[in-house]
Amino acid sequence: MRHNLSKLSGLAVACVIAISAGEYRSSPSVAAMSPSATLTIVTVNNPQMIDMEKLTPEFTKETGIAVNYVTLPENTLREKVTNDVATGGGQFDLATVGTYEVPIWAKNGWLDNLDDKFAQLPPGDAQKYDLDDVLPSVRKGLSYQGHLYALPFYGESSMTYYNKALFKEAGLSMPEHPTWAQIASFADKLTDKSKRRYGIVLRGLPGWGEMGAPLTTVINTFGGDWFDMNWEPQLESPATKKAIAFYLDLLRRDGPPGSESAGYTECETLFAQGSAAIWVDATAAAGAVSDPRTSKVSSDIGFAYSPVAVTPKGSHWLWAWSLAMEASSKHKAESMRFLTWATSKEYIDLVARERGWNNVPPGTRLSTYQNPHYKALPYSAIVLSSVQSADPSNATLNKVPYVGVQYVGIPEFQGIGTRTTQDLAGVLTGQTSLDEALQTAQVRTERTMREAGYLK
Amino acid sequence: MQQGPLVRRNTMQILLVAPAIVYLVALTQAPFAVTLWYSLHKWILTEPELGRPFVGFSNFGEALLHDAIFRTSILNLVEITGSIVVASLGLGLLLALLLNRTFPGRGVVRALLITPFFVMPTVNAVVWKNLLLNPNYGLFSWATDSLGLGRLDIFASAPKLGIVVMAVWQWTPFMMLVLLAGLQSLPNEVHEAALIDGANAWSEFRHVTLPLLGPYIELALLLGSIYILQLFGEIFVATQGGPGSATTTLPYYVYQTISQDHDVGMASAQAVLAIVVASLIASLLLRLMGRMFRPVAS
Repeated sequence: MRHNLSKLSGLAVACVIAISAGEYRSSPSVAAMSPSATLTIVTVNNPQMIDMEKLTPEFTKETGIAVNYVTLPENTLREKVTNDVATGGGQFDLATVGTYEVPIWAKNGWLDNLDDKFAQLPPGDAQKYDLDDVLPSVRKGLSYQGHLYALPFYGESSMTYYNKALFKEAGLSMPEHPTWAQIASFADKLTDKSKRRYGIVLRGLPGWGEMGAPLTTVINTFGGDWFDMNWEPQLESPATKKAIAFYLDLLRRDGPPGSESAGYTECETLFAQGSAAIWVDATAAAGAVSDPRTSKVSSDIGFAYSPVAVTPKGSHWLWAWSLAMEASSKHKAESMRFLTWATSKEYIDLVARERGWNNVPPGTRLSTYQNPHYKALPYSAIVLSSVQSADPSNATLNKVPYVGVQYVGIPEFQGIGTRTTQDLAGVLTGQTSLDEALQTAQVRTERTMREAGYLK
Repeated sequence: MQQGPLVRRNTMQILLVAPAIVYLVALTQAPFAVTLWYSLHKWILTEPELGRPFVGFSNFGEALLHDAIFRTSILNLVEITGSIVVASLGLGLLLALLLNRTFPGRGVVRALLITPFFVMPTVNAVVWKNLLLNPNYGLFSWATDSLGLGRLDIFASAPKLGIVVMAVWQWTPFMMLVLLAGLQSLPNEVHEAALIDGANAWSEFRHVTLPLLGPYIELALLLGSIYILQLFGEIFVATQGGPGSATTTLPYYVYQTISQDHDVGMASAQAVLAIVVASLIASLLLRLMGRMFRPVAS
């Protein structure tokens, strides 16, 4: 028996270690082979990134540099890349990162300063790339101490999508700048659960980048925040609590069943299938919901600005999926060539030619929005103005010590945001009460902040 | 008196076994030693400025005393694993008894019943979550809705049950295989003897088959528990440990600590505690089973 026991614990050790390592295999797809350098790029499985992977043979043809893709879902990507850069693993040359990671990682010395790299480029190349054409708000979001550390592949803010046919049928009209109170009253009127029609879809899937993003914009516009100037968590403060209660109540009342497991993709599907009347989410979905190949309601989509409540500050987010060079990369010159290819004006033209203007990576370059084809799209003006007016350094009513609209720009926020939204998903399904969930989250967040040295 | 040769023989034995032992220790215990070492440090991957200070047992204290979810995750682990093992063992026994009879097409039925075991856990979870249990598009929800019972959203109303159902579907064939092997190895004479003694089908099963099957049930329980304690794919795909922490088991919680908090020290401490919990459960199981079957079997 003793003998069995020691064997057992051996097995248990192996199992726990295997699990805690979080090892996760993905099959890299080889775009092309070449005797010279091969770049390894880790990307997220969003449609725009899949397009990039498909168009990469053009880059290889032009430069002779082969590119190896590792494509992962968002949450897994963060894990893998964080582990790689934090331990200096050097698995990847270029990583797909967002505005959240760039300043934090730049501070830790995990990414290469791109200003230096641009200075080393031949003058003709730098001029052709035209860095000033990249939207200033996005560039600012990808900088640390005034230096650029990543180039945006596509940028986004958030806005309101609605189904014009359903609105017309109910005799309602959506203002260009709606308030959350209006959205709630529309959603109440448009919900008909017996017909499987829901007034609104919003993300309810736990994760700081899932439910956490739209929820935080609601917290901002209700006048709440995550932390005060002393880094004291504010989850139980009146404004924040009111915002969270509003979000969850609205979703419970007028949202589809299974909201607790609906993230960006699931919400997009529900909306594009015509099951929901309103959807407040990323501007990057505009192309897909307007495309008859991916949307059943493509001709009925209306667009409006993201809803506001007490203050317009922080009511719409700023995000840019970007490419950054890992400090441990061994192919820096080749990496720079790819970076400046995938985020160039020429690349945008290439996508427009191959895949149509609806599928062009949005929110990165002024020139995209000056193009007459793109200007003609019904959403392009709202997207441009939302991306340009989102300000991560001034996104809350009260003064706060952090940057970020839909997140808090500190490394601990991944854990804090994810755990808190997990508790809130429990409120969505009725497992816990809001008071209970917020108290748990508050206590845990205080502990995390104390451990990390923000609180004494 | 006999010590001399005995020692010599022992030395020889040890020398012969040594390479294998060293290999085994290096392979299984070295990672454990590293985990132990990390568990005594505070090391957060995303905060390189904090360094990696030695903090003694404070990670353990934190996990055991202040972390409510850690305790919940242990209870969840016991509850979920226990339900899966018991349900799949019961179903497996039923199916094994059926398959132990001869009927036309038995080979095909057996092959079909075994199939779920060869489906990868993540694939299993994706299919169950999206095709069967999805409240909007799922088959089950459609069925309950058509019967006028309303939509079924099992991951919201009973998330643990959802996980258990998926895992039972996967693990029943395993239990069935072990028990079927046991049934087929039982000597025919005892059945005949029972028949001659006038036992009916139930009392034959209760007093002859079941006790003789004891060691196999024991094996199925033990192996099943060891494997199912590590259940991860279903939780990762279907619920991500939620809603709230309703389906956060200990292995999943360790994964969350390392992947979301990037807290190596705390995750290691939790992993070490997970081993303690697993060993406790295993020893409890062994003792329990010894009491249940040994006297009857011998």
